[in-house]
Amino acid sequence: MKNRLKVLRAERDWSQAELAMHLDVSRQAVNAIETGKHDPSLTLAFRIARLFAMPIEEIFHDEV
Amino acid sequence: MFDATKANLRSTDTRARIYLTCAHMGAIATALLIVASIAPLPDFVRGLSVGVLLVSLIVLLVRRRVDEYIDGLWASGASFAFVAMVVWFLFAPFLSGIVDDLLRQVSGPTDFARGGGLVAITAFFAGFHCKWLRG
Repeated sequence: MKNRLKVLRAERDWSQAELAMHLDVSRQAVNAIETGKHDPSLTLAFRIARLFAMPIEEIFHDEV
Repeated sequence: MFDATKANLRSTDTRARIYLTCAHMGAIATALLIVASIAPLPDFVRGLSVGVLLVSLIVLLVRRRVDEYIDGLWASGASFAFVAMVVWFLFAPFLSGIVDDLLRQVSGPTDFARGGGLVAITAFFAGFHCKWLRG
């Protein structure tokens, strides 16, 4: 699944560690989500959407 | 409040880092054990590998809930190990019979059981690292 997490993070000038802090996960998890190595759970996806005040589908989308 | 969150992240990050380090050390120890079972290595290498592997496996088991990413790595390794064990128990006696026939040797049940454990652990680390590298 593709996502815009890296772009959204860059817009806010956050490091991976800072984003991880906001999401209460490890920096490794943020890195894995950004590089597409890990698809977040629904709970974490909602947390990400809430943090960026956007609908989930504007952050994550299928690779079609 | 912010400091508490920051401290929590630091601990989550540190735990994730320790977890991954343990996984790498466990994989190296498993590789050394495999080499030691084929090539004549000093006894202390085998002993050290078993020790490192045990510590690594305990840490991996106990600390797998660091966060959902780490949990996913554990699940991937566990799935690989499960499939490897099923395949091992289905085909190992068959393969063992062929090898025994070829070498005209009879292998005992101890060797078979020990082999299964090593297969499962090897498969676990293979699955873990596949997921870690490729997602």
